[in-house]
Amino acid sequence: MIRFFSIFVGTLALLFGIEMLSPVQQSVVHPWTGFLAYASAHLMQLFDGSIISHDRILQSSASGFGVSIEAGCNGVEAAIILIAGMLAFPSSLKLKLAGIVIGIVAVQGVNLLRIISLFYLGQWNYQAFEFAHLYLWQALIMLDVLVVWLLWIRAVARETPPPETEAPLAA
Amino acid sequence: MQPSGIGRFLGLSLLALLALMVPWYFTANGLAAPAIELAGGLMHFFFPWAEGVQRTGTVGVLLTRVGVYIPQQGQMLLADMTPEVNFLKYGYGVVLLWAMLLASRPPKWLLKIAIGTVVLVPMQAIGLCFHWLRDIAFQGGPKAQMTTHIVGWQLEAIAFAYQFSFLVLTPLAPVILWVLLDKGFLKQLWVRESSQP
Repeated sequence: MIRFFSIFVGTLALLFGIEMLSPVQQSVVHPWTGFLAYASAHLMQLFDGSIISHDRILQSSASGFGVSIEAGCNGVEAAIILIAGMLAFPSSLKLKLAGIVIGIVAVQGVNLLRIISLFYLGQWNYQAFEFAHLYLWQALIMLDVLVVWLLWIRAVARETPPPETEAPLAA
Repeated sequence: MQPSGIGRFLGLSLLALLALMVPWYFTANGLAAPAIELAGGLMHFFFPWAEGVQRTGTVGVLLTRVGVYIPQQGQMLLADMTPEVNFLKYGYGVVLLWAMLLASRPPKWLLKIAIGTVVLVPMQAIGLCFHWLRDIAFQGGPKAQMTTHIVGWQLEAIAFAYQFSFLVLTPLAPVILWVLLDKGFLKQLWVRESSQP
């Protein structure tokens, strides 16, 4: 347990520190956030033709309402937490890589749902938007990260030979 | 844990989260008090220019002796900085913890909910402190720097700590607490899955 948390916290701090670096923000985080706005707009255009995106901004050309996707709403921190959790838990490199790739897709999928739902909530009621944006969706995304991590641990357990039945975090 | 343990846990957690979030939002005054008081105490202990804290509902206002010039009617007036922060931004994690503990129902779950609620208070206070520090360090200007002496690497450290506490610590702390308070959930998951043919 101590080993897990040491590696987890160390990896988390390292990855978060790297994310905060200006070159990483410019070359990775901002383009990724722009892509999220683009992907959200394309998904929403399936049922709402008035949606457009520009850079990190998602806007309705019909109502003029728009939102800017900022730090904390791009799912990067959630992905970093998930990656740290998977790297810290004892498993094979193959399972770690598969878990990280599939896990990031799962987290970002739910994050797209967050962005789209918040966009429509914001057009309907600003107070409800603030509530969902600052509290409810923050908790939901973290629950999503936890469940993805648990599912991955289940997959790791199935790949582990029967003699090692002691849970790695039980100590 | 039931056969569909993770799915059941997710479903119950979602239900509990949705059911508890609105009542928490409207009754968070009581939960805000200890976190804001602790944060104010920490600031006063570590920084001589922090004089105390004033709470209005869930909003905590740090009272300081940090001077700052503010434009008013064409003149620059000297005033003390009083940065404020809403506890709710750092306090929602407690609802997530309650929801997860209600969903997994470990032994003595009610006691664990109480313990978790108390343990989260210092985490919330840390978030509040760095929120105030960020405002003072980055919005105070040169006049404020003369009092706080926060410069160079300290500014970087405050920026990092603020971001980390807001974006990572606040949502993650309840999850870590849940793992620690319900070790049996993970253990059962591991033992059952690894012993499957």
